[in-house]
Amino acid sequence: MTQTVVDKAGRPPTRRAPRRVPYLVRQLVRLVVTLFAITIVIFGLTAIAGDPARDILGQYATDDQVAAFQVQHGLNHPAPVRYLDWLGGILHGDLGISYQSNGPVWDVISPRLGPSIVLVLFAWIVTVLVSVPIGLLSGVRLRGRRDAAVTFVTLIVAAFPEFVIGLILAIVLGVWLAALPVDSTAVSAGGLFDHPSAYVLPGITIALGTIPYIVRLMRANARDVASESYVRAAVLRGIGEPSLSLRHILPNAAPPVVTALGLQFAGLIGGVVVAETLFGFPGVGQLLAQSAASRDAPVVEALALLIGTVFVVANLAADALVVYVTPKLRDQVRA
Amino acid sequence: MTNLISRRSLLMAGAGAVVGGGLLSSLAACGDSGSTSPSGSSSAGTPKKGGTLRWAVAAGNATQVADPAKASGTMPLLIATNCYDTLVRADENYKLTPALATEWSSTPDGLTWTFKLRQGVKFHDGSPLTAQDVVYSFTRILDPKLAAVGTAQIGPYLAASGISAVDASTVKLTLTKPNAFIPVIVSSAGFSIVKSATTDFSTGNGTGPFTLTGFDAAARTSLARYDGYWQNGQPYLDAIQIVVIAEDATRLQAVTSGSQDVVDNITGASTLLLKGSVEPYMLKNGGWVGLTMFGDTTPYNNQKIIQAMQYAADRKKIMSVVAPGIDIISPDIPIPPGDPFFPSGLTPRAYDPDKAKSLLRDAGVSGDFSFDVYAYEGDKLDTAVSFKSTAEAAGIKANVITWPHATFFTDIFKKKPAIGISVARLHISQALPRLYGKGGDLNITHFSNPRFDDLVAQATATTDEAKQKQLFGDALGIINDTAANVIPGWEGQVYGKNKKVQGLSAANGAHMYLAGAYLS
Repeated sequence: MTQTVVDKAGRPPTRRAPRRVPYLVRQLVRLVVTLFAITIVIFGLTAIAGDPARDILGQYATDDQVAAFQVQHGLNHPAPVRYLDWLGGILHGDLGISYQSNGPVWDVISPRLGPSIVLVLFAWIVTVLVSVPIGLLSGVRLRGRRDAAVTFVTLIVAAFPEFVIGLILAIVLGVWLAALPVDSTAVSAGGLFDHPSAYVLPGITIALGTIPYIVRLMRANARDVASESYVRAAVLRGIGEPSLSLRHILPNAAPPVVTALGLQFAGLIGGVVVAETLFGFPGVGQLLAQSAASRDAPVVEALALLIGTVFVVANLAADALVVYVTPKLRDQVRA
Repeated sequence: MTNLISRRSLLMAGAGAVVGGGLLSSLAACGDSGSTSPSGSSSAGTPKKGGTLRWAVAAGNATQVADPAKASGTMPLLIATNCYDTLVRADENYKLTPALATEWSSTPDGLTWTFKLRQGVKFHDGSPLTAQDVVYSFTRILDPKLAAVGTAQIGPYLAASGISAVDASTVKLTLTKPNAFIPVIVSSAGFSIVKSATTDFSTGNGTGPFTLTGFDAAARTSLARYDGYWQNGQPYLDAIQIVVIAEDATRLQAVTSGSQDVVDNITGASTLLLKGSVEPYMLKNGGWVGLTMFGDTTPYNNQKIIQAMQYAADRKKIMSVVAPGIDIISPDIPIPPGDPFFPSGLTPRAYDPDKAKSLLRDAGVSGDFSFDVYAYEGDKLDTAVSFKSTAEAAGIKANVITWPHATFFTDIFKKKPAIGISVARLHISQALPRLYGKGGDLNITHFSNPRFDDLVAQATATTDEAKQKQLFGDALGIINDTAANVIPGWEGQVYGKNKKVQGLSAANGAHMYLAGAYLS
């Protein structure tokens, strides 16, 4: 971000705050601070869960076995020392050693990343393709029968938790219609894209957690824009509804929705844990649930940090997008 | 929400090592050898060769290992049972058949056992089975550092120095204490024979009917037919794909919709949904459920209070909640009706709240008797809660405290006097000393009775079957009369299977043995 002393017209700048830290740098500092706070929270939470040695080794482990386990995993050190060790490892790209498998955490996580990324992207695309047109149509024809139906359905869908929606989808699409596999276990066989149908049910389940929100946001924005005088002028000029919606309302109603979609990308990750567990989808969400149940703290910590990072970065990207699409904010950043 | 820990996880009594944490993850992980009576259709018609069997299990964990000596989760146990063999195979009622050993015998004093190995058996890597492999496998199990599941079963009777190879195909076990049931013990999945000097178990190099072609205990395990299997013509299947579906409802739908051929851990009323192209396959007598109390701690050291609790349990009602469709109620002993050693004539105590009330009065309790009982989600909690509701009529107030599974075995088990528990079926020669004997690793009732210990030791040492039955019968009578537990009945495992799946059988501790399985 270069700073110009004079503008194109040769005038000196008038309202420039002196020596402001560039926007991007400020955001990056915020990112680092947030991630640092996240590491403290994650480590603190697993630390107060107590010593896992007995749970991992079993009820009949001897005291010697427990002591050996604690030394092996550094559990004999005080928590702050362990935290610094852990943090130091992460900065060097070392996520630690799994309590259960005794192998590197990364080896446990890495085969599951690909499927989860594809799943989240799929869910996000479904969200966009479904919610934007529906919200737009509903907002343009406010209080019509179409709008009432959309409002009714989105409220119903929003009221159901994801695992209920997932089960209903599985029964209808998987069992009754037999159109899709009920479980997504096929993903673990062969390549990432060998079994596309296995992504559909969990993907839709995750998307349905977000769609009602985006639909209603799109609807509200379209409604506001539709009541603007230039839209009414367009109507008076005799422009038909398709053109009116697509060329006049959508571009003006979209920016806040684009931002929300960016933020929701991070929100989708929460649905991933539920949907993956529900459908037996071999991804990081299922791994997180399994590792928490088996008290494999290093795996849980690494996944929590990973998800936290995605969340923070997605939020940052959404913030940047807000700035980009809102002229007022853009000016402030430039200033 | 989702059922990460399989609901019916049993205390793995056979597992010397693993009771706590997420490893206690499946009823299929029953501890000891042989146990159940399968129902539902099995082999009909002639076995057909070929095909891939798709199998979904409830419990999986990314970090489980494929070492059969440490197998405790569902997937590792399926690997132990189908990629490896034991010396002796046990059926659901401990009837033994030869496997890697063709014959076995003991000296009359029950102190020295000799096993003759089958000729011509080859490991998956082509090397022949020798006595040295058995010595290596058993020595590993006794190594305390390994924390093998079989240690607690054989440790009290055998030291590593007592294991020897007489020649290339004969193994001798010299015991420290007589035991007539060594063949039963070595039929457990934890006693699978591995190749000598193996330290990496990821290839599953056993002598069993299937080879291990892929292993990820949290996602997918793949088995393929081993053409060199010693059992004629078996296995029939080309391959088995085992995947994890933790959610009960999805697993049920996976088998009804045909995307899986067999699923495990069907619970409660879901069994009724198995119709049309699918049917239940039941292994009954998987394990017992109950309440256990420290019998040496006030107020449970008062015999009358324990008896009042036993009479206050409406066993039929409790079991209809805990294990619907299984319908096995029990006297207060850890051996199921139908076991060869079950004492004929011993009947469960009838539900009698009035008698319970008068016993409480005799015990000096005025007003209601109230006590705390801890349990975690699933069959244990069901048992405690349904006991509470039937015992209220007798003036017994059970304060059921739900404890998280994650810390139950660290903070509650063996620490709090009264708990709700479920324990996998054990052979009587294991169940009695470990659950009630002096120094027993599972003596959660703090039971202590020298005459009982003596009866069990005598019964275990003698090879005379009639004598065994009589001595064990007397010992069980003592337990039913005086042990501080309420054992209303038995629960089982229910699988859902497509009707085209035939020839399923359980072996070596209610683990599915699939050499004879085929798709019709």
